[in-house]
Amino acid sequence: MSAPILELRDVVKTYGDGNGGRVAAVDHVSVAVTEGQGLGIVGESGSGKSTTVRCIVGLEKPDSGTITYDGIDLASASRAERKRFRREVQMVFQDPYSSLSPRLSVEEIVGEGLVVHAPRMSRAQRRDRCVEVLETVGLDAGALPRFPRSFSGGQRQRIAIARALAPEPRMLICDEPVSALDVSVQAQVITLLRRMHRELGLTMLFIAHDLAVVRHLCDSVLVMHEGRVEETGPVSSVYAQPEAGYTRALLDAIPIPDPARDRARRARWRASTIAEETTPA
Amino acid sequence: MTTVPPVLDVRDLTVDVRAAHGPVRLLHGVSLQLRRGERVALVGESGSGKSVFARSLIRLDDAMTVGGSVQFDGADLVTASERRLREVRGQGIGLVFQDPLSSLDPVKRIGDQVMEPLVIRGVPKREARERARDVLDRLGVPNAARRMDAYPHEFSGGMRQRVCLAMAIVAEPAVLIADEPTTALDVRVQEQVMQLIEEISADGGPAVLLITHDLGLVAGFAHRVAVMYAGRLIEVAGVDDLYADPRHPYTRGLLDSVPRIDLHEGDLTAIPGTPASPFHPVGGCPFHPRCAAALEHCAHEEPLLTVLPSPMPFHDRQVACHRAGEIVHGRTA
Repeated sequence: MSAPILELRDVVKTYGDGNGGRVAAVDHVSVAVTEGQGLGIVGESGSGKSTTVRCIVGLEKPDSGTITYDGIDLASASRAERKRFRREVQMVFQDPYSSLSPRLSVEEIVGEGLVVHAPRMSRAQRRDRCVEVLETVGLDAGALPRFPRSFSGGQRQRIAIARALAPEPRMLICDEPVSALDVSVQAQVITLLRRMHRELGLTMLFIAHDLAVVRHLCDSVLVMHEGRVEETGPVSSVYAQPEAGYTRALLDAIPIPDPARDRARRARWRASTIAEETTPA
Repeated sequence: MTTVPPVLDVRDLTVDVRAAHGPVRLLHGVSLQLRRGERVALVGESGSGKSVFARSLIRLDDAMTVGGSVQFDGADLVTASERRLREVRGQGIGLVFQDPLSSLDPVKRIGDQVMEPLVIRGVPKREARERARDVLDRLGVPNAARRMDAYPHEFSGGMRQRVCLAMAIVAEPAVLIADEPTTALDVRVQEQVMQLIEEISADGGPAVLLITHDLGLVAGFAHRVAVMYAGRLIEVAGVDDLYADPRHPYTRGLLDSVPRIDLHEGDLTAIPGTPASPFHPVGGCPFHPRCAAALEHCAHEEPLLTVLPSPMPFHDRQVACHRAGEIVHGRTA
């Protein structure tokens, strides 16, 4: 097996609890991601999944543990190494309404990364690259002079993906990229992300609260709960035979679009809840 | 079942709003009946008019011009006085919205907010407080008596939605309308809230209209499903018929776009294009620009919602598609 492109070792991040104590939002998390892998990080609110990502991209500084990217220890990386990391690792955020500046045109939004990361590109070259990535995500040159407000939620998320793709990243980190979208539009964005993953060989970290979305997009999954890694493994085995009770509970909570099967699932859920309540603690 | 008069009978409901270039029609003659004990899901994308439908039933927005009729408890709510409407809101028809934080008053204690619909109607405070506590208890708010003195920010998202549900049902309404009640919640909390709504509706509880964009959410919950597109109902059917054999290509599209954990074969299929906008209406069938089964004639003539024979008793199937007769399992042969 090749060396991981991204590796977290024993990462801990704590916050003050307001009473003089500390709460571990990320509690000894270790994970290795190989190049070209699609890893889903799944957990509920407060599970630590977003804090983990914020540590990876440098928005938070871990209390302890190491994060290495392509052999670089991010805590002690040089300026040049950090710059390379920032070009090679791009993000797509949850809310396509707040993550695009309303005052910038699509050309400025998508080309922004190129101004920083490819300063020698001419204006015309930059425009060509913008058109190229817009076409990759199913938009066209007509979008360049327009502003985010004239696009729907799904189209905005495509623009955000185009922006992330423009500097030719090796890794894409998507933080709940479809949870603010309608189901019908979600499917468009998931299909697009999967195509990017396969066709461009992008390494993907996909953060989600929903195991169903991850199954359609990732080859492996990591389940987080209260800051810890509850379970990790290939999608095929974790979904078929979850080892952790917590993973099982998350799977059981996902509705099934088939009336008979979903009624049976709901009845199972009720039975297990009653069992829980009647079991003495 | 069909002989029992519906508790809510909406006929040919239209809603118009004023815009810069004249009136814009948001609802184009929607008819839907709710019977006692029934759980109906109203499904559609953002902008389809599903929330407008809910809000216009009890005329929550002054800017809307409402037409048609809404028969409820012996009155037509479209023409009812503001005073009559105030009685209906909360007491006759309870409402729960997507975002529990913005529908609660941040500076009022939980108990006072849940009691309010009763107090307004003259129920003595002591009794109102007891009933509020009972409802919170029933909805699984731990230590309800004590937590009635807490403020909304002290509650988690799931607990806040329970409080909103309590407010909606404390006056024992005949109809409960829940507009995307679980969209902002984690999956396990979503499941708890959906189970609660089902419990509320059982045993003589209110008829429920649950509004969602996710056809995946309601398969095991609803008795009937109404699918809305561009301010029109385009398919209405019993839940088993609808999932087993969707007749409208849009319904099929919504089903195929649900990510599922129970099937291994097959990928997600997205509906191409963007949802219809009331500000840019198209001629003919509103779905034809996105429809793989569309014929030339679909661009010119709007299909009407038509009753199809159903194998299930009591449930008429209605579909608005020129090709509904040829379509089996949502696809043309």
